[in-house]
Amino acid sequence: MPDQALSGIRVLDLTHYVAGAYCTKLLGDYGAEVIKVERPGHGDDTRRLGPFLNDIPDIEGSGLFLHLNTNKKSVTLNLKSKRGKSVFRDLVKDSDIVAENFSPRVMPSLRLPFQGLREVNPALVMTSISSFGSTGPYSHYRATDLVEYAMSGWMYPMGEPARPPLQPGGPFVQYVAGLYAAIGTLMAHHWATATGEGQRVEVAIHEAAVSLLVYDTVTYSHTGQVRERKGHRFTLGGPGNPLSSVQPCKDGYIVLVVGRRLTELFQLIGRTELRDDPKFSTPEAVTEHADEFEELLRPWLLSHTMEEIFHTAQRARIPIAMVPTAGELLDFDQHKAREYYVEVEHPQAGAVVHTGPPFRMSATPWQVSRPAPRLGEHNEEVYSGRLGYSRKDMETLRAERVI
Amino acid sequence: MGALSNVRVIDLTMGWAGPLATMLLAAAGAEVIKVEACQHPDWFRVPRPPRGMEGLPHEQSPAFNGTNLNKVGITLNLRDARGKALFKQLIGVGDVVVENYSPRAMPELGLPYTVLQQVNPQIIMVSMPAFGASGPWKGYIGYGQTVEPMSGLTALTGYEGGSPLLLSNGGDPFVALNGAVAILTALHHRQVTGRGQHVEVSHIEAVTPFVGGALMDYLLNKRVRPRRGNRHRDYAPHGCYRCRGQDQWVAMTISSDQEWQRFCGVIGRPALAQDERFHDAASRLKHPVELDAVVEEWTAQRDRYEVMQLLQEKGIAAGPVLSNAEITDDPHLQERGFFQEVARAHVGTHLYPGVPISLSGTPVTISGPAPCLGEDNRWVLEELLGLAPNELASLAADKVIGDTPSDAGPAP
Repeated sequence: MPDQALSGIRVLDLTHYVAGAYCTKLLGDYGAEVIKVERPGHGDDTRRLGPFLNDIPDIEGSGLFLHLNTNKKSVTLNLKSKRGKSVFRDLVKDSDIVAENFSPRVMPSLRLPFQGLREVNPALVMTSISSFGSTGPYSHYRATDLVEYAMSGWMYPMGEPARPPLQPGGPFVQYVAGLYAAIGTLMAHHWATATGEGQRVEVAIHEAAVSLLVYDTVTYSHTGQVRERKGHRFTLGGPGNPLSSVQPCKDGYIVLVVGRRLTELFQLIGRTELRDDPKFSTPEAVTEHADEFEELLRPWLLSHTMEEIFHTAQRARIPIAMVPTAGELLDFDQHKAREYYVEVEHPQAGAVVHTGPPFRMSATPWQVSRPAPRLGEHNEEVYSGRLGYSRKDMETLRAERVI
Repeated sequence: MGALSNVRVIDLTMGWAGPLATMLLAAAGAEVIKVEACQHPDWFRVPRPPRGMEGLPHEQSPAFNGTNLNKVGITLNLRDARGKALFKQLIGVGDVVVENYSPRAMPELGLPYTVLQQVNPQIIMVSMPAFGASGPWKGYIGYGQTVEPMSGLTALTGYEGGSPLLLSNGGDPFVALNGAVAILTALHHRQVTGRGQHVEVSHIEAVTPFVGGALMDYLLNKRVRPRRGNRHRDYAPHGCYRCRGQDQWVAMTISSDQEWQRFCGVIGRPALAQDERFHDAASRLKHPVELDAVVEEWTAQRDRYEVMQLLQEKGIAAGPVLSNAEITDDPHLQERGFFQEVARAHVGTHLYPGVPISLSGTPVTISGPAPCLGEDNRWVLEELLGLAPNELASLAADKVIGDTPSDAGPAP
């Protein structure tokens, strides 16, 4: 009986940076065995990205790398060498999944395209993530998170009307692509388990970002409504809605999500008489008198902390939210009560706190049983233990800088 | 045949986070039976028709129509004893049941996991409560616009030195993707062991990993990352620049000194590559205002697509800032056929975004529109559950099933 949901699945992980690494982290945290194949002496580029302790670079100390590579094993392998390719094919033989997020040119130019790997292992699922996909006029274009946000429609409606469009904070587009890749991988693996037939999975980060804007694009196709920038007030088209807005409070910011619960809101701020004012009697009226409405709200908001506002509002059934920064996020009572964050000892970085399960399974736990690997940490285990390479083989591979 | 063509999902979800999760499975061939009640239709069906449209508002919501493609739709009043019994029959023939009500709802209906498990020991139940089903906040209400700030994304978004701003599209779709992974993970386990289980997706727990880098910065250095607008900690130029035309912009990133040298060539000012204010990244980061002025002086005279092409030819990441009206016209997405036309009753034929997953051997595709309320009652109840036609008439007369919302419609 497997103790985790994905126990028994073997993943060969050629990914780097965020999207691919998050895909294989998801699989690994639910039990898959993930072997990260890294370039000898260099490794995943994320090892060179901060945050680092005291901002001092250390390839075993990148906070982002530690976050994204829990439960993985690391081997080094030079895929450009002939011997390296043959070692890689040996690994593919008894793997279920290969995941990579190189540009679409790379795997074919390494002479490791899906068709060739499939000959080695007919049930293989190979997952590829790239910026714009492997076909189409932009397939070889370069992208950063900023460019993906711009081209997918996320940016244009964000920010102040008179200022440039604003990029969303945080690289969520990468995580989203990683999630789509995990979904596609599990779909294909489901089919492979049922039929023995492997297949190729492809995800373009650009399309992943566009697909999430179904609200905006389908609304446009139905009604022709264009979504414009409305600053701190949310809108799906038309004027900005102060009942769905970011507002300052005593110690930070909150997000109002009032919907039609105006009576409850006026009770909350002790101004029940406003309910009878025609300027504020309906959400539509409030939107028309947005500035005045926010003025009325401000004294109460500025005299209460975001935690006070959050809890009193939620108890009154108004789904107001806090806008926590990183330290505040780590301090949530809810996360503590549910033991969300976990601490895992890393041999070099010390005790590292990780975000917890994105979903909780009643029979098969999520767990971080090992921290992110050191570069090449599992060469012996994988090459000698799993592939049965002799001591002499290993010496040759090292001497030839294949590993 | 789709990769999930042997999977049947009983879908109680509403709004965005749940329905998008099950829609993805339907795109890969799963049979997704969406269960609404005339008394409680999906709240994404709006009470008023969208601007410029007439007719049945609950069948015209772009949001509903865009997040329920490929599904079979039935109505069942789960507060009615016969509705509950039929629901249990569905559970008996289902593989997965998904719901995103408050954690109180299913127990109050007498349909918690323990009960459904007795009906079908192999059933997988996925629940998607905003803050989780335990802990001091378990009863709190969440929507997309609460998930996103409470997962740490909003605090990172905003102009330099300005207040935080909401993303243009809340946290719901992020939760949806996690829901789909949750379902597939549980399905794999069942495929191997034959065992079902209950899976819980707390929205904030599912999305908080997205800010892992910022959390690590705080844990390592007690640093709260500032809002940077369109700028970047290490790269410059990195921003959104005005182009020719009304409210037209291009986004670009110069991520190395070599790229900067190439950029100076493209704009015909090679001397700037040696300029002491700009020659390396550290210098460029120290002179952001002058730097942005140099870039915008060049972009402002050009079309945004032209800027993209000139820079991409030199290996520089750049692309136009597109509105929701413009995305469907983008030549790349058009050549890839990403948006697809789908005809649907009450609204006609419109473009919908496809599913950004392609499998080489089995289709992942839009095969049909979102169901009208109660559209497949007959097929599901008669063909699948074996009811006689007169039983359907009796259920309809007692409002256990139907095809019309029983009041003005749900509050948004």
